[in-house]
Amino acid sequence: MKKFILDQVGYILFFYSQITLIIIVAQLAAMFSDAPLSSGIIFYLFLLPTCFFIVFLIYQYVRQRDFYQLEEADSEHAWFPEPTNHLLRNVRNQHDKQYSIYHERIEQLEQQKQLEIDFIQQWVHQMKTPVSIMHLTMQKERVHLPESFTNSMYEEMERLQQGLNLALYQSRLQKFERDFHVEKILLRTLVTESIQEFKASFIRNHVFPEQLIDESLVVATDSKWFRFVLHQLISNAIKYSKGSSERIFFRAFKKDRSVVLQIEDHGHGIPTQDISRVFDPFFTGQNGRTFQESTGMGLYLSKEICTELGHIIFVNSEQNVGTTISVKFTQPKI
Amino acid sequence: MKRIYLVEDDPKIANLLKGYLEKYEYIVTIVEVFDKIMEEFKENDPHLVLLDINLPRYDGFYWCRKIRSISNCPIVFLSARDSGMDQVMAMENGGDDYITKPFDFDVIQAKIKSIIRRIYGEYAVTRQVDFIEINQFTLHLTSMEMAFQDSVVALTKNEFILLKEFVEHENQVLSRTHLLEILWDDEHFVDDNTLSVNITRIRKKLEDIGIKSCIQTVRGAGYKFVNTWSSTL
Repeated sequence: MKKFILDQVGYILFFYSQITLIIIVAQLAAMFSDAPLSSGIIFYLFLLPTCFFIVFLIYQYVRQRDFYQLEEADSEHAWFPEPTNHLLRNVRNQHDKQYSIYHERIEQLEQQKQLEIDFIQQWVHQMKTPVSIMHLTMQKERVHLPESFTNSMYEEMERLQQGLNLALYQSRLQKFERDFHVEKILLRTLVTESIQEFKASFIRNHVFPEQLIDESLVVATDSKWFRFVLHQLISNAIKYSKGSSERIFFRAFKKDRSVVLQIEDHGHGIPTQDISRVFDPFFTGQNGRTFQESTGMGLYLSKEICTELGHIIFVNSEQNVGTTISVKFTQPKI
Repeated sequence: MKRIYLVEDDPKIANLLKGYLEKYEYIVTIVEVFDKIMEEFKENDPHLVLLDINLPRYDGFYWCRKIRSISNCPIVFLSARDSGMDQVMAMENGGDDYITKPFDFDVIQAKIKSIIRRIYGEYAVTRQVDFIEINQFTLHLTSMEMAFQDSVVALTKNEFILLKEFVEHENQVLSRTHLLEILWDDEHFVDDNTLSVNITRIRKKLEDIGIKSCIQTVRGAGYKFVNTWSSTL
């Protein structure tokens, strides 16, 4: 309403200036014939058009009210009120044209993105076959090959596999409809299964897991997604305590209304200046330069996944002492 | 002797699996024509089917349904896809189990063994060997004991696992890594020290029954089990 009035100020001033003009002309004419208009008549000449003018303004306002109230409407949709005049019709047409161009462009991008996601996922699955073949061939020929060779090959295959998984989950996370399926899971079982998958890696690197998680602890999470997080954390822990004959401790405890899982290694640790940034995408920090390969995406994705699942992940570390990564699960409602 | 019908479109994987499973005395037939899976299935009449999901023309789920319509033969899916949806689909279409790539020979073998045992009974598995003997030295597989001449000594689980591996690979160098891997089971994660302790104990027990230094340390490589007692008899 206020805005409408503001818009009409020009009209209103013009309207009254014209009335004044007419009154002045009428007054001059009247004075010419020696019968000046009384102040009542002058006032009446002002009042009468004002009444009609107000009615006209109200009529205008009602017609254009939709436009003035647009702001309160949700801006999600490109809804535009029915134009009341040609000016607005032009504006609306222009708006519609632009909107549809943008809309099309966005749809195109979404399609392209979907195509890329589909491609990556298919590609990753296809790449798993050669890795499988290498694995099986190595297992078959292992007896005839020097151990240093097989170890080195296994290590590379593990890195390949890790890289493929990283790509797969990164693209899965991009999907518009994600397949999170949260259920109650025995934490110990989940962790044990993940440790098992790193069996060869643990042994080869002379690092040993200590599973200290109580059997009764239950957490609410998506086992597939969280397993990916566990994989990242375990492989980091192994990588940074490699060859030191150290242990990696898997602990969990109840705290208030949640369960906290801790993975503690006594390895290299993270430099103080890097700690706050370990969860940033592509962040590799000093350790990324010291230890070969590190996309800097593992922890970032882990954090993203944890956030989606409603877990909180945080890290404590001291250089040359070790690193503890904790994941806090909110208690499932029993 | 159990027959396995293997439907896998990657010839390398198929051949590797075939070679490996044949060691365990399974008779493995690899699919030849993907349009004739049903005919080949009927012809082979296998005890178990290993079925890949991504196949030319129709996928594994389709063939699984087809096979299910004429037979209750156990079907195990092989797939690179690890999404829960696929596993659910596999089970809903009549699969018995699901193995994801990249797979481990041992995992596949264990799954096949347990399914065959469950469906065809305990003694359906390859003939049961009860003991291994090398020149009067006997390792009893069911009682976990070893005997030499007249002395018998009991072994712990870990000692038994190690000794069995040694005996089966006489004169071959077994690396510490390999030994750790066979000791490491679902719940017990064995470290270097445990392995060393177990080897020492086995040597001691062997000495107690009269066999000296048959487990030799090969520097930088591992251990070797050598028959040293035959000559002393």
